[in-house]
Amino acid sequence: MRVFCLKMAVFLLGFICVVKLVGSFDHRDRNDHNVLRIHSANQYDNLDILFVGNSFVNTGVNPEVFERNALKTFSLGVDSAGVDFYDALTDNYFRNTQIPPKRVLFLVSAMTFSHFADNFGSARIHRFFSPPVSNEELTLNYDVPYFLLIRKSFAKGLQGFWANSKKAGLPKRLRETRGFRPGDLTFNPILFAETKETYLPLNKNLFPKGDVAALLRLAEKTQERGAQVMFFELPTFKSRSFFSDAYLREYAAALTRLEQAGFPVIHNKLDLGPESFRNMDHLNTSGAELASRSLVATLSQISP
Amino acid sequence: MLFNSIEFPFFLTFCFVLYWSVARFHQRIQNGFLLLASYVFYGWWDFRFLGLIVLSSLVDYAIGLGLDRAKGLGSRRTLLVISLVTNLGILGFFKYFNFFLGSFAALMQQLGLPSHTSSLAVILPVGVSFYTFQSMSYTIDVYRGKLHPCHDAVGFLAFVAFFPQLVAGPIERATHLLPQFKSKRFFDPIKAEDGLRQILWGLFKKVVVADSCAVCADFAFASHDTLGGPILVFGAICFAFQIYCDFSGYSHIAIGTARLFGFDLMENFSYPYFSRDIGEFWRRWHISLSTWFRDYVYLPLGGNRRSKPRTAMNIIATFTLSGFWHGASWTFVWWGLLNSLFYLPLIFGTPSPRPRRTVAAGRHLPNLDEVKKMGFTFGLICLAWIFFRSDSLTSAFSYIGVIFSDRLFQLDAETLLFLNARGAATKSGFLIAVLLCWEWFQREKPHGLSVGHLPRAARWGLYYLFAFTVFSHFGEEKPFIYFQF
Repeated sequence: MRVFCLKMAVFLLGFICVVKLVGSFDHRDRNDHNVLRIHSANQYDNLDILFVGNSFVNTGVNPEVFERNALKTFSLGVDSAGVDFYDALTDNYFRNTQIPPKRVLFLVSAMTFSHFADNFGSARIHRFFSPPVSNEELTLNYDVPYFLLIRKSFAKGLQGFWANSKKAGLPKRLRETRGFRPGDLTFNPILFAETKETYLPLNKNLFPKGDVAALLRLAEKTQERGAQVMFFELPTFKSRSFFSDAYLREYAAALTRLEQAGFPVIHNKLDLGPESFRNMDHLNTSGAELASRSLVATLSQISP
Repeated sequence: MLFNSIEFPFFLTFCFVLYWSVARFHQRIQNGFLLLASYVFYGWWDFRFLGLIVLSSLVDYAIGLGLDRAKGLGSRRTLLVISLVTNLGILGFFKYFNFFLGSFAALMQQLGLPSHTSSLAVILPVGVSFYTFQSMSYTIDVYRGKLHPCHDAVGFLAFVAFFPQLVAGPIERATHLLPQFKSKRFFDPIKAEDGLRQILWGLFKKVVVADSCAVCADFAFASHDTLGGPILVFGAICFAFQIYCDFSGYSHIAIGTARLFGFDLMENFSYPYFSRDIGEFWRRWHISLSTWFRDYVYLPLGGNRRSKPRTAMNIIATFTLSGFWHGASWTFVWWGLLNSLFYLPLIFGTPSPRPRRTVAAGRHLPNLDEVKKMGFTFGLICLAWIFFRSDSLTSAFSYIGVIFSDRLFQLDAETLLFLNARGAATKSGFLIAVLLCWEWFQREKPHGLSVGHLPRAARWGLYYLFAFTVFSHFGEEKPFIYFQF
């Protein structure tokens, strides 16, 4: 029995060591637009506005439109971001820049609070921060299943061995667009039919009330760091129809709660058609132009 | 609790340590501990249904004791009938009630008669088909005088609820497993090590091969109306490997886990896709269920002792019942029926020696005749799997219809692109090829990781290779297919 247990312990120890060793290579492959965006953002400080959000932001907020209005901005939108991602992204940005942005605008949408949001296992942004945040630290800070993280790090670490030979093709382009991801596709019904299945479970989502409190805490923390905080919505096309009425009611109440706490919320007033979207919900370049212009107009009415 | 869940390794380690440290002193303590662990394991899913296992076990335990005391044939028969009615009643209500009700309503509608039926929201308790059959085998064997009744209630309850094989088999015979509960178990490191190897092999089959093949199979069966023939053929092959690796993977984990606790469970799969005819396939596939139906249905019906037409009838009845055991749907009945039809040529055809030994025994490669036979048998099996996997008979016939139409050679470039964009088709094909090669060279061993004879460095290298492959595939817990039965 003792020999058996000893063999098992040796095997497990070897297993854990290899998993940790291989996992440490998990942030070598940086050829991903989310990762490149995080790294690009760190090169821009003293911004007028830092936009933080999910992929709606990197496809819907075009810094070039703001530049035309003498506003220096960056579109820090990372796929599937929710409140925890916002917290981690903002923290990483502030730690890596000298002069804080004047304003930080956090995206709010029904999707921000959905089960799709904050999937650290799928979008392992913490491993690409400067310095990288370990899986252990992340698990302690946020409610993330540790096993999922180390499994993913191991799988990515195996790919990481070959990462050096890969050429990152996106950074220059992303630097030019300041995080914005242009796209000229337009929505079509076939695309809707093909992707509908993915969105169906949204109907069963319950609104996570704890996330609103966390968002308020983040807003206060960001304000303490010297930036004015606002929340904003972007035009969406189809995703709202997948949520239950109860969820959307709770979402509306959450926006009211943010406003009551003293943080301005810029509601979406645009009603854009399919020609402005590249897919189910993401704006295309022309849609982003309209949405960004609308934001510029609204922001100009809000005194700093 | 699923074998492929995060909780299971912790549960298993905890039970293993306690079992061999605290509970090792007496067989009764070992049985009591296993009973408690088994109920926790089952209750993890839904503790309310524990009552059913307890009911089924206690009824059969009491009937076993009653059979021991009863002298007359009449009273013994009555006791056996009570056991069968209880077990089949549980099974019938939870598994087949809505099916019978629905079929009755459909029949009434066909006949133009009014039917006012409404289905009940009945939850199917996990493993009910397995533990009721296991429990029934006990009373039938005691009735037949093949087994002495068990006087140790805890031991008997632990036998019925033994957690490694509780929810999806192997369906153990009382004659094989119950005596193991009657004696104290001693730790055997060789057995335990082989158990761990078998668990690893089972996890590899389930988490890596079955779950990967599932992507292509699900895609093919969900969109068969619009896909071309080659994709549907590939989808059916993927499903054949999905169900094989899913179910045999479960069995390997169950057998391996039982070995850690000092038990030997019966072999449930023996490289079935290397079979040279349908008869051999059924001697190698889900052996515990096949032999259950052979011993308790086919042989009592007369087996092959009477005329050929009668034998054929017995085969058809047994296979149809076996199909129905799998699920309350006509697709499963057709699957069983189809398998029995495939069997008929063996009864009416020219008698040929039954392939008893493993294919190409003592040789590295099969000869052309063996390859042809294995290919043909696999083709028939895949055809039957289409019924097993389809949602309805209409879908199954439509799926087969496309395969046997002029769309057989229609390769849909868009579909191929879709599949390959996810890497699913290439990955499934690669894994199937690796599995087939690996199993071919291991086909005379009890399981794919029977590598105890290799040098230590090679063995440990293989363990790590398989462990890392499984680990990198762990993610979403996909339930085992046979849980639904």
